[in-house]
Amino acid sequence: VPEIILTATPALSQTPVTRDATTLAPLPEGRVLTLVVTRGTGAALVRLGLALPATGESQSAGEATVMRPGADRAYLLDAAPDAATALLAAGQRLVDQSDYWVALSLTGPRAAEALARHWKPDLDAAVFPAGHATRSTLGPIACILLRYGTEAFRLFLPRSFARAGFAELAETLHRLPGD
Amino acid sequence: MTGPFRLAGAAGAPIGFRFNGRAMTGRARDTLAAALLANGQRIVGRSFKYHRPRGILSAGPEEPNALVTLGTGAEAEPNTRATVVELHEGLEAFSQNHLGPLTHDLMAVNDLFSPILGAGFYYKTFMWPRAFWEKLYEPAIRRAAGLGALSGHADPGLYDRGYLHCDVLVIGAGPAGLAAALAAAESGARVLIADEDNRPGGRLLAEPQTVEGMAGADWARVAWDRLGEMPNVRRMPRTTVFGSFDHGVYGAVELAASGTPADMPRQVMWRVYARRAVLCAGATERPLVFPGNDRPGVMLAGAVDAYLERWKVAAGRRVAVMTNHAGGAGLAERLRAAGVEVAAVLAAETGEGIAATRGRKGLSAIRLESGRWLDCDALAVGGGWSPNLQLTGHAGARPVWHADIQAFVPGDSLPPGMTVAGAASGDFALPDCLSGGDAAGAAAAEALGFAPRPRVYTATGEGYMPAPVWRTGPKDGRAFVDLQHDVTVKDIALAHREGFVAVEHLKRYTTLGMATDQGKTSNVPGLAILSQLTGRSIPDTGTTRYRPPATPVTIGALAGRERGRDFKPYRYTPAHDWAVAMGASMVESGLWLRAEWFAEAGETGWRDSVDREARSVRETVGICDVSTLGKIDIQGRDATRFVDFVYCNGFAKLAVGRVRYGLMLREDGMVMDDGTCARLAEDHYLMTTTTANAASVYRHLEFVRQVLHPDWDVHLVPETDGWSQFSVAGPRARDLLARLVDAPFDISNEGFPFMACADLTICGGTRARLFRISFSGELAYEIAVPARYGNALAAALTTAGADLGVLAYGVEALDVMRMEKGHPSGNELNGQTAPRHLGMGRMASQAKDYIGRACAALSHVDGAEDVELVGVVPVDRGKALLNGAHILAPGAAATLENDEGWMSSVSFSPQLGHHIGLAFIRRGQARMGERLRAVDLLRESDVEIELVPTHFFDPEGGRLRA
Repeated sequence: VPEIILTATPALSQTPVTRDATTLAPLPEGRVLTLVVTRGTGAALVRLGLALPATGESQSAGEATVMRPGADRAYLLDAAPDAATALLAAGQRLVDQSDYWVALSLTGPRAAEALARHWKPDLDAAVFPAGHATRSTLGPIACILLRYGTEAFRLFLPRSFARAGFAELAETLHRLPGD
Repeated sequence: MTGPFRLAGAAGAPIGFRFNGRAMTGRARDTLAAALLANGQRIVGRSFKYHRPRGILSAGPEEPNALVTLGTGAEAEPNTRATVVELHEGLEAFSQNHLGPLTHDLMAVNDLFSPILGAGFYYKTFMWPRAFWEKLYEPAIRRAAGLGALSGHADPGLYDRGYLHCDVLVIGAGPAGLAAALAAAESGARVLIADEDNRPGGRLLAEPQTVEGMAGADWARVAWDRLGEMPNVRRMPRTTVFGSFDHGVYGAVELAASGTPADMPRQVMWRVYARRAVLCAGATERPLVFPGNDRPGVMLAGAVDAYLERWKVAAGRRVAVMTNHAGGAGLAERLRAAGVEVAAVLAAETGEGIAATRGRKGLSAIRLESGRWLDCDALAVGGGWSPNLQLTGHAGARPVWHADIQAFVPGDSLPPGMTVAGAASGDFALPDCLSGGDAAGAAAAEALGFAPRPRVYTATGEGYMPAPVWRTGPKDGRAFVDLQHDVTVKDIALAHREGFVAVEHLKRYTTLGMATDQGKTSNVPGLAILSQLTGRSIPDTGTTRYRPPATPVTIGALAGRERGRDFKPYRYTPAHDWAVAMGASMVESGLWLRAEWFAEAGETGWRDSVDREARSVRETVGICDVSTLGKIDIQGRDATRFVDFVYCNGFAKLAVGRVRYGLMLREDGMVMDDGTCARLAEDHYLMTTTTANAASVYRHLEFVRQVLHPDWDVHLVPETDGWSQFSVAGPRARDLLARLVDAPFDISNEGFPFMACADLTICGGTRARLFRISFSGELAYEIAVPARYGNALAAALTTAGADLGVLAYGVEALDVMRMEKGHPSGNELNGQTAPRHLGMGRMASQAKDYIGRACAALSHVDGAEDVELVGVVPVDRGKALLNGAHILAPGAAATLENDEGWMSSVSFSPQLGHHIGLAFIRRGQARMGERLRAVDLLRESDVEIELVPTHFFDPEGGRLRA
């Protein structure tokens, strides 16, 4: 039997969709560590040069981002490869969910308007400003939404729903009323 | 000019449209009703019950008569109110509810029988013979009475949904709404203002009043533009707020503008989350009730005014006016000023009422109570106004009666956060509407911490106090109260005589107010007439309860995108592309798409493929995508206690590196789910669930964690989507996997025995998990890799096992093999079975506490308390078994009393060469060898069966431990 190496398949191969300078695009698959927030999580993150944000917010340091959409759950995005080992050594509970979550970016002046066709929580920049993260649903899909700019969102979907979520938002962009 | 009744000064470009195929011309800003009136179209439809000719009554959403079908073919939209349809080029409209031409409706014969077709006629008449109801009476009645017909085709229009948030929702963009929105918005609050009309202004468009020195319509446009300049305001014309729900949630439907392309949504259903709401929905004018009041040409006075002022259309050549307040004279003056002849101005409050009317296809004359006939082709009727307070009552609040305006107004008990202003609150004078709107908008903003600045508006306009006059003319005349449902004064009197004197009973007995217009113009006159009959006051009589939607909402808008293929999204497994490339036939399993079988060349049906797959797995090795099984990561110091508590069988002693089958019960002792749970580390488990119950089990576990044992250190992470998992089953399974696992992992039977689990790497370093578990009864494993490697893992298994005869198999073969092994599945774990029904009673621990223990001895299904799962084979092995068949004793009649149980799963077993089944049969375990019958009357099957143990194949389990 020849030597067999497993090659990754991207969750989404769709090309970006743009409408009125607003673009929906799949993001490259990065590292996602799901952290159970307990006493000591903040200190453990600080030792990695990161910080535990308040509930509903996120913190970035270099390439890495910690988003905390719920009180007891945080997600460490694109941290150094040895971050999991360091956190485990610090007694933290975590699960590597790099393959669970698939991220889409939705950026542009009509991004919030498109999302509002699906997303129940308030997306007004005064209520949900850049740097904030929250959980809700896109139809039946449980998602996490990170706003990383006034007109820039990252939406995290479970992998099995990624195609459906992308198609739904692409259709929404198409259906937005003309000005 | 665009039509013989169009007056000078009309704005908007000419537009061509058709009504019942007749070409007509309207104007760009017309409603269909305005354009029809301008063209002299008096009859626009036939009434619901008596098929009487009906014309346009109103100029707004309250319209009971002018219901039309728009468009043709699949796009046809029935029951649309012509008074709110925006005219556009090429619009085609059709009248409804007639047999033959609109002007010569053959069903008008119903009207001849009207003396015997009163309220309750159907209930009393069609009682016998009973069998005639479904086959004769009901179809005949449905043909004779009704509205428009559905096209019979799927609606090709697109619908959407969305969510909006605001500080202050202003419902209505009339003078009060505009003032409220300005007050709130200028203080900095986030304002959403919605109005069902395509133009803002409300009654300002219909009456020649002035605001701030400007014509009312101009002021409305300026105010609207001012709101549009503010970034904190969202203006939503063509948007009807139809419901008020808990927690400040409002439902609204936004219609697309005319001319919107077909690939854009025609309606959007919005859920609006509002911290405060100001209801400025205006008021609806009521007609007066008098004999012959339903002829085309009888219109609401305010509508005559609106057609005159807004659309420059005369309601007739010679118009009479009758009101029960002082406002009739002003309308008459405006009509005269526009060149329309006024036949009479009647003050009903002084006894100048109408006793009869004439005109077969439209009003031609009225007879005064004095007996004098007056020629006229239109009659403007004003009976006062009812505030549009429906949204205040959706949460159950009752309005209160204000005798000075003869109307119900909102009471003190409003939905939280809602205030009411303008005519909706009973303020009918324009200056009061403006000041009330401003105050309400400011108060709403102030309550949220903003600092509004009060405004003072100058405006003309006065409110008229209607007299308590509801009807004129002789009492025995045929006078309609509810025009849409053809309910007359006589019907109300009959209801009163028969004891239906409560207003809710009156409604149900006569159908008053139950039509699509929800009695907007008829409810108050109806209960006023009832109160006259009973001698009670109107407030004592009360009003019916308001329920959403306040105006009709299409089913399409409620469904949004969720219809057809888009009803629910598909979920794809990580190896979906591989399965498709392998030629899999896919099946929906919940939201998932799963491979049901992989057909090969020459196979002529699904049985060929499934039989081959099941047989080959037991001979060589097969792989099956089981990624859809739910996976839940469980960690924490108390993880073992937790797992032990949620399963009924023991887990406390499960060693690290071992897997165990678990049965999970609900609190009521019934089986909720089954699966395996692997102990990956001292405080770390991975639970698998069935595909169907993945979400419900996770929810259940979170309930246990957060509510029942918040003191335990346990953490749950759903992991289903993170892994691609394959079952590798068959005698050569170990040989196949041995080629993929990285050294030094020992996959020998000794090194990795039955029910072992391990973290490992495969294919030169890819992270993986291996479980030695079997659903098929074969030597079997489940191997999992991170989801991104799903396609690659499947390809690797087929490549590496080519010389071993590896094959891909689908869920059908999986199901066949589990039945051959007697494993229960979804058909057996149906929510009504406990462990003892499944032959697993001994699994339920006696030595620990667990969820469901307290009720484990109970049964919740009458007659099924003592059923037990057994195997079944046909005595004549050539016969097929049918799922769902009921079990009867030989010779027993097929009655409920003789029912011995049911067949839950059946399959043809390629291994045994005949059908096998699993069945729940009363005391089945003690009846092995007994012969019974499996009877399916629907499919005309009656098969003699023999009860056997559930393990049809390899009962000793030697193969899975090999």
